[in-house]
Amino acid sequence: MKSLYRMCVVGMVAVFAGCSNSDVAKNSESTAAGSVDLQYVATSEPAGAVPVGEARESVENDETVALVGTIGGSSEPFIDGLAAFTIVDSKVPYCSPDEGCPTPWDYCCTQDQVKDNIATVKIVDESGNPVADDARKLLGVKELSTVVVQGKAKRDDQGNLTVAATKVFVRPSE
Amino acid sequence: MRGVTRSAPLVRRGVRLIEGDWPRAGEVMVGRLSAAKLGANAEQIEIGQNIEFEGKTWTVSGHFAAGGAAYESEIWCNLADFQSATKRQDLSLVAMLFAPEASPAEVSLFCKERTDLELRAIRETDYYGALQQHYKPVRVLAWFVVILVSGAGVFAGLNMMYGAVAGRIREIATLQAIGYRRRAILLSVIQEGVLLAAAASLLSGIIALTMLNGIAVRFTMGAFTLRIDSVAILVGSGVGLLLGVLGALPPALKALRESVAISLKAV
Repeated sequence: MKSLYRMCVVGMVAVFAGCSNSDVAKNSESTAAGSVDLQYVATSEPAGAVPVGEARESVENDETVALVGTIGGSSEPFIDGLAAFTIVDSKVPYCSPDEGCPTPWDYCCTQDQVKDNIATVKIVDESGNPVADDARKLLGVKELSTVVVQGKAKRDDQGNLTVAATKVFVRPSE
Repeated sequence: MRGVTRSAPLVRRGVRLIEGDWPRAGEVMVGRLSAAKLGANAEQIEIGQNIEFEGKTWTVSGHFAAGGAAYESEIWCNLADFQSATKRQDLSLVAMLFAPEASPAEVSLFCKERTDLELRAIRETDYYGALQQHYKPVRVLAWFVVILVSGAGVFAGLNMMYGAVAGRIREIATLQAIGYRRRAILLSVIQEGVLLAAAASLLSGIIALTMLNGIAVRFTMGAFTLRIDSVAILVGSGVGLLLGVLGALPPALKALRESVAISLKAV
């Protein structure tokens, strides 16, 4: 009887310990979410976002756009010292986790498709200057995060597309 | 071989034109170590000499130094000339020097924006850091060879000292027989060893300074000069003196441990 009682006590402690751990995890997530700059992070997804590949064909210079894509395109998609990164159309596949690729966001196996499906995103302040901060800290994003960026498009004669974004919505990972 | 514009020295501030003139059309200026890199004689790249490459003859217009930097083993010519000779219009490298308040991130952003080109911005320190990492196994191997060669030298030195003292067992026994104390004999043998080692260290230091110092060594990326500095001489002499003491001590102790009668009969 005593041993049954002890087992119950140990079980309850374990259950409470488990609950307590998940509370800690939730708090740390909310802390991480709270550390992003809400000036640049959109709380709801902008409507009518177009994929990067489609935008490269249709978007005009100085047009206000909402662009959806996955952060990546090279082994280092983020720029050190500036809130800027490259995004790739979500239709372009990248290495799956079971393939063991250490940097799947470089699209090593589908680089030929990346060329026509990539855009550069730079976060700009009210005066239009790039924000001198790390985009990962500023927006709470990482490689392969899917983002919807809203801002003004800049095109050049070579077909490159850059978006001077004022708001970024980060799609929750599936 | 590098095609450069006239503004190159504004970025490569270590470059000094030590002889001759900046190259004009059809001319080149050669780095101080380029002869070593090419495996040529210094006379072959004298000012006024001709060099042939890319099916064209180039005249040497000057010599430059770069404080031991990697490009000291390069040959520089006018960029437009080089592009025309190689029938290439692309640039493989654009070197930029920033003002203290400027940010290299702007250049990184420009490179990211031009997705139609294969551009990559990298700090020179990071570039050479990556190279150093790449060549780390070679460096480890080089240190291993240094340790092996030094070890062989130390053992050869110890063996020689051992032989020199072991051949004098009868002499040491005689000194003991006529009344010299063991400690005095031991000290005398060590003194001789140190004197020999000091003389040898001095001689090897002179050889290193006169024959090896300043020699250019060729490697994959260019060439570098061997520099025998005061630290190298000091370390070499220190090891030599240590060798003198450690080499003389064991055989002298062994000789002194034997009885005088037996030692006197030793061959």
